[in-house]
Amino acid sequence: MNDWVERYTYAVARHLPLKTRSDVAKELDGLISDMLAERTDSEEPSEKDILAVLTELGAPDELAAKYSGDENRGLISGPYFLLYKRILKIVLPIIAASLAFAILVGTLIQWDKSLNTPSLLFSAFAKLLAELISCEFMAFGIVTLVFTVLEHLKIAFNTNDFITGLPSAPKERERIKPIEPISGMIFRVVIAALFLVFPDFAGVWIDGLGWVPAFNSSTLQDLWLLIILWTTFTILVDSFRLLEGQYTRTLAIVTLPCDFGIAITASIILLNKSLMNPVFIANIGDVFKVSGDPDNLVFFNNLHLVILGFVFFSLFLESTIAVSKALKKGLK
Amino acid sequence: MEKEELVSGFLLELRRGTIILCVLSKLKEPKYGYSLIADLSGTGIAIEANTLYPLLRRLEGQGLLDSSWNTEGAKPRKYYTTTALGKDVLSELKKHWQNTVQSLNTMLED
Repeated sequence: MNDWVERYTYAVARHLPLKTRSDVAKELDGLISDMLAERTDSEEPSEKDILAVLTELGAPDELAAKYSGDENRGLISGPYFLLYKRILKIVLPIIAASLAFAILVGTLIQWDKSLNTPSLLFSAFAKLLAELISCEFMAFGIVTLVFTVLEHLKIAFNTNDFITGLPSAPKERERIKPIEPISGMIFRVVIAALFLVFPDFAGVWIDGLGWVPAFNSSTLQDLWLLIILWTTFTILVDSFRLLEGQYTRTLAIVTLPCDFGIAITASIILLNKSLMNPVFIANIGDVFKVSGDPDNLVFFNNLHLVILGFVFFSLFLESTIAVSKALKKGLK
Repeated sequence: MEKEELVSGFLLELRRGTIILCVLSKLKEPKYGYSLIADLSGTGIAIEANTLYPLLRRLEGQGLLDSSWNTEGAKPRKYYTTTALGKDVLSELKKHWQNTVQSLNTMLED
């Protein structure tokens, strides 16, 4: 019958440090026998009494947690947990986006007209899924491990100077909501994927000719490295927007060279003489019924310059906003 | 029901803060855990064994209590008593406690 008591004290003690185990078990044993004596008026306790007393003491692991002082401790808790959550929210989507991009590039390098495109896409998708699972778990594990060590060693993030080191709080409208850079990254990966895998996707339907792609697919395929470079620059800017959460000097310092890089790659791509599909250029005027107006034809004939103009304009806007907001913040 | 739950939660917090004061003041004479529970409940302070026993050990680890096994009786028992440091801490805590009670009483009378 005393087997229950022995099992209970063992179940508590096994969670405790070796040197205190026998002492705690002995003390618990005494406590249980005192509780039983009070309950049964010093008569021989029945199994029911024993079970009642042990139930009163509560679950062994909860009692052990009280003994060890780890009652309310977690692997990662308090301020560590806040930062842990924030880092995970940034790291996991970036890994997913980068993987998607990397696998896409890998697939494209293998691509060849003789290959079966659907099966290639399917295997790329399967690979992405497998890599996503293993890489995301690994990243999760590494981040968790780092924070567990930080928590265990109680490494302080805050110095005594934690007040003056505080970044200024962005006003509601100054904040960069995470959804903006994340959706931006996804959008850019999708666009890059479309241009690289289905270069013919952009085009128009012309009666008698069928689907006429706007760009020369072979030229686009030759330019794959530049398209990837362009996307990488934009993802880099978005990653920093996500990390900073507001317009800062760091963000401006990253944005400027990246935008410059985008401007150069975009120029090389869009100024390529064989980029536009000549059939598309020759017929696009008809589609919009502007063939008689030479001014409008100029627009279509130079569509690549128009696109480049848009790219430059948006880069100009992005850089100006990044620099002016960072300067404004610095002046305050 | 919800109110009762809230009140019992707050009471638990109140008790948690004061229990160390009770234990330190009651252990000027050596006592073993179960006798301390009976002692405290005699003065109207209810504490469960599964809270008190780990607490005694923690206070011992912090140097506020001292312990020794007494094997002379029918059952071996671990007796705890307040150390010099424990007494020192107790007298400090007592002062703060009395101040707190005074301020609270004034506040609650309003």
